Amino acid sequence: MAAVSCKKDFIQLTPEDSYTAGNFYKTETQFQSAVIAAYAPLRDVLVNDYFTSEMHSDNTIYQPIPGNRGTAIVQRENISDFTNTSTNAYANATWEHSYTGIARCNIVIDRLADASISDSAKTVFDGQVKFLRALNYFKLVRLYGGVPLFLHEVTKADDAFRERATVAEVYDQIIADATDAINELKAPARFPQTGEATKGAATLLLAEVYAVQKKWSEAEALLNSMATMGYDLNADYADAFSPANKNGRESVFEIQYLGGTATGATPDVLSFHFLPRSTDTRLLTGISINNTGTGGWNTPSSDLIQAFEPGDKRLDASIGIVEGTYNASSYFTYSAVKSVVNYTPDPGKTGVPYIKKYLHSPLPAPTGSSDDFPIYRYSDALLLLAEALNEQGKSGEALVPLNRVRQRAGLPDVTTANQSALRSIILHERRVELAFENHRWTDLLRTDSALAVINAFGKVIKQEQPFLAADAYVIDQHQLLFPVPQPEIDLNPKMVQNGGY
Amino acid sequence: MSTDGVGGFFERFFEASPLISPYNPDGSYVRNVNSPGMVAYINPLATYKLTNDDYYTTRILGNGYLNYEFLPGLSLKTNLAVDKGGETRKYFQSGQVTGTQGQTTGTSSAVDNGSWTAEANLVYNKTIARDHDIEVLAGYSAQKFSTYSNTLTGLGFTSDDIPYLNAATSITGSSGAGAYSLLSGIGRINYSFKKKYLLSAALRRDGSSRFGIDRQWGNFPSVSAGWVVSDEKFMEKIKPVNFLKIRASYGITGNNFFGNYDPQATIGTYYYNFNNEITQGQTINRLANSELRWERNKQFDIGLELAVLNNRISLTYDYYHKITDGLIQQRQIPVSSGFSQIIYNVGELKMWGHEFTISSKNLTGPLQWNTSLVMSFDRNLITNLVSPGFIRRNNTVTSDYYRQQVGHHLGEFYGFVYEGLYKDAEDLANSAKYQSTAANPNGSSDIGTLKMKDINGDGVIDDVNDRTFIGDPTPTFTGGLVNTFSYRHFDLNIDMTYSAGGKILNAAKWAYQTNMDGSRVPLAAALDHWRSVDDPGSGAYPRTKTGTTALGRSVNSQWIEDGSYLACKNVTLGYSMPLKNSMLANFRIYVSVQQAFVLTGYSGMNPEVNVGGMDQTAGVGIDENAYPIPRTFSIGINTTFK
Repeated sequence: MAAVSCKKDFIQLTPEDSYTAGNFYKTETQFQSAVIAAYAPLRDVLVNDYFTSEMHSDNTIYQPIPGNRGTAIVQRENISDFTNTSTNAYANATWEHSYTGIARCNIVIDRLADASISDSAKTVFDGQVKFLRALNYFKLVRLYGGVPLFLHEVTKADDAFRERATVAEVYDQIIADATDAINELKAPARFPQTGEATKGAATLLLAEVYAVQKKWSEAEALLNSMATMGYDLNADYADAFSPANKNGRESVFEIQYLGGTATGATPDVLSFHFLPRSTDTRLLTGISINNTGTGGWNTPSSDLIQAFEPGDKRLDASIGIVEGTYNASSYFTYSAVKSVVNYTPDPGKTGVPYIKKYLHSPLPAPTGSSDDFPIYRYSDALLLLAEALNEQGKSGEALVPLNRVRQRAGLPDVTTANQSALRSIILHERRVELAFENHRWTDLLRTDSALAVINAFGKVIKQEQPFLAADAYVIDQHQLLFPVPQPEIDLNPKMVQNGGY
Repeated sequence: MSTDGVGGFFERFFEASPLISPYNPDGSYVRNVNSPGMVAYINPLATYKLTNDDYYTTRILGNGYLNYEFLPGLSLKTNLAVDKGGETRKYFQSGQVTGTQGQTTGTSSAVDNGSWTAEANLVYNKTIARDHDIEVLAGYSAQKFSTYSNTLTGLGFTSDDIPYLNAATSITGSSGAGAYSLLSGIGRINYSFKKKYLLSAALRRDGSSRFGIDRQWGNFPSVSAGWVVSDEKFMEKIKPVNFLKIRASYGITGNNFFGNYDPQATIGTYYYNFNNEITQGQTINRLANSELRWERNKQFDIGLELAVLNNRISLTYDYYHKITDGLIQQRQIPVSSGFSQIIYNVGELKMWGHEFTISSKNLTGPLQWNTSLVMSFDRNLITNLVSPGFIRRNNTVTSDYYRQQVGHHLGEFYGFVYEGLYKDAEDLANSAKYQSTAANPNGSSDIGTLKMKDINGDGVIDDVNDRTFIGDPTPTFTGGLVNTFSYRHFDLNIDMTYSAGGKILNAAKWAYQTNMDGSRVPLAAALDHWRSVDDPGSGAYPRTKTGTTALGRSVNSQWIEDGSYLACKNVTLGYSMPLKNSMLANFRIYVSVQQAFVLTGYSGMNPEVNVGGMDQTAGVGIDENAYPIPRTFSIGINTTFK
């Protein structure tokens, strides 16, 4: 006992089964590991962002389930209906997880400064997390407006209470980070890519930021620089989403998933979230899955289906119809799978559209698939280039990238060089090409068309779907931003709510 | 699956439809036992029968000591105690009842705990001039606890026949370890004069591995004094008083009851799998708090002990006043920091109260009757909390049952204020409505739906501005009453407890048993719900119109009930056999009933309920599908061999 008690460090214990902040962040491998951890929250953002960016638009609605008014159902419906408030846990989750990602980037950025690892490794790590930080802030600033700018590791409670920065300040930071990432990262060395952030991904991100700011020539220059990075469109639209083509030539940045039940597996659950609720989805998923607790979301709207031009191959690749009957629990018994093209239901059956482009049957396990989810694809870059050119009056030049996307879809070339007509055509093209990729709401915001489009959509969809409440899709200026999560307001006296909430 | 609480067996029993048999015609279990249209919960009977969860526990305690008297009155007392424990768990659940259907799951896990305490005290006793007793103690102790655990989980069983991981095709596992240590030094002086005046003073100094590196040590002084008044000369004239003592004390104690490394920033694992390759990432998973210090309880006590009438009546009275500062809790912080909480010294709490115990020997003849009555008046107040001055239970509206707030008592309930149902069109038109907007003026309210108070008076009921404190779980008084009788060879013991004035939030009732969405089996009382203006039912239960029922899932004052009760915890009747020339010293046979009866107006199953268990800062008086206390009848014998 005497021997032990004389030791001063008898009561200085650290965990043996994990590192602590004090003994980690030393080696290159550890920094690599910290960078990987900064990617992980992308999945958590995504699993909520289809509510905040896709259902919160005219692209998709949801399956009604009047017999269950739990908050897990009602609050998600409210985001789709534009009746969400500051206590909506699912809208608030997008905020939370984006910031989790940012915090992990900040830890790497700060700790790299004093790290004794090679400069080349520092550059690559810094570039990747700067891209991720820019991507997260870009999501936040578009959904919530000026948000608190956390740029350093939080090490004590007082650091956690910050006031909101202005929208301009947030964009300045995004531009600075994306610019660093472009300078520090390289274009894909080979295809399939590693899946990590690249110069190309940072370039497209920054180009989209400039598109928001209507700095069209800067956007154009960046998008043109992507031409030499090796990207290309797949011959077939559907191939872009196939698990066999992960991180392929069309992919600029995608969220990585791995199905199965091995330790560390990260299964993609979205494919069956996007199907009608059923006690058995086997007909679509290839294996028996009960998605009554998770499914029923992101149902393609009739308005979107009608937006596909006749002959557009992307319609059949993106959307399918599952036929069947609803039971008293509002669960759907699948009886047949049909093509959405010219679909008319069998007598006595209901046809429900579902998102097909992320569904690759059979799924490897009931826990989910290995499908990656696209954040940026090369066709997005082409359409953004068309837009940047058209906005600068170079409408003739704009037709080239636009028609490249259309040709793959099996559609005739657009020939008009009328700037205003082309503006609508490009926005429409983005809607169908990038359907369900969580671009619709931000595209409507960026093109100042959200108010008109959503209110008009609401009038039609409420006729068609009587379960929607009278105030669904009735929006004014204040709904162009989400409310700041109420817990952030309650906890932090410096935090100010967005107007109208 | 636990017996209590959300998702526990007790909730599932209520949710299982009485219309659906748990068995298929062939005798196998039905998986989902819900009525059509209701949420498809898994058959609780099948879950119970098809889940095997066994714990094998071993514990060995050892103690050794060495006392040595150097000089008359001066001795060294040493003690070494060892506590060794192991627990192995064997868990197996059939795929018929697993959450993901068909995913038969087996777990094998083991925990090995060990701790030792070593202490050495130098004690000096001296009596000076016959009347002055002095005891001086100086001591030192060291304590260390360590644990090692591992868990293996098996999946991919081809059948349910072999409930061991041998039959699993995929096994994953992990192991972990933890430890804490404590060093203490203590000095103490006891002094008494003629055993009539008693004084004591002590100082402890404790160092705990759990605290922030700069704040591991805490000093905890205490003093106490006692005066046996009945030994004074002037008391000799007051014959009825047999014993009277007055005592007072003040002391500071420390609390380090939280996780072993909670103030340290540990590194967690997060996977991100590039190109289908499992890739492990690691980074900080919680915020450090290097300044976390001991939680301190500063307590003042004053009391008296009195015995009168030949010791037939004795009375004890105590008053205490305790201030807890540096209260250790998880402090919520804005999630924009990347973290949601940090372990923190969040504030200060005051607790005080009076406790009376009266014991009487009512009958002392052949029939003996003793009574002991305890009555406590306990109060508390939250006097200080870090910004923003309150701690919520969670960020929901539906289960944010209570709020700890400065100026309030612990665990005061928080929610909407219930004002009945909207009676008719006029009432609806003239009242604030839930989530009403210009485009949808009635929001999700309608005639016959729940009407809440518009607290901020803006004409709209919303989740942020129209919730407030709606009830206090703190009882006015609590206590117990024990009566013991004996007559010849018979003995009878009746043990009762009571509580008066505290409120209970019957969360189970609104959230699970009267859900008007139609997603769960309701209580029969909910049948009497609002149907029309002319048939409004009992007035407690709203209409079931689609789109109006969600508000019923939120906390409101309708579900706050009086939690007063008188419970008969135990009645035991015993008979001791008269023994002659037996090899037995005694032989007693008894019958007893536990939880014999409960007198209460509370409508739930058990008024002695608390979702937070013993931790008063984790909620008080909340009934969230609490398992009722069973009434237990037993027969037994006590015997001693010569």
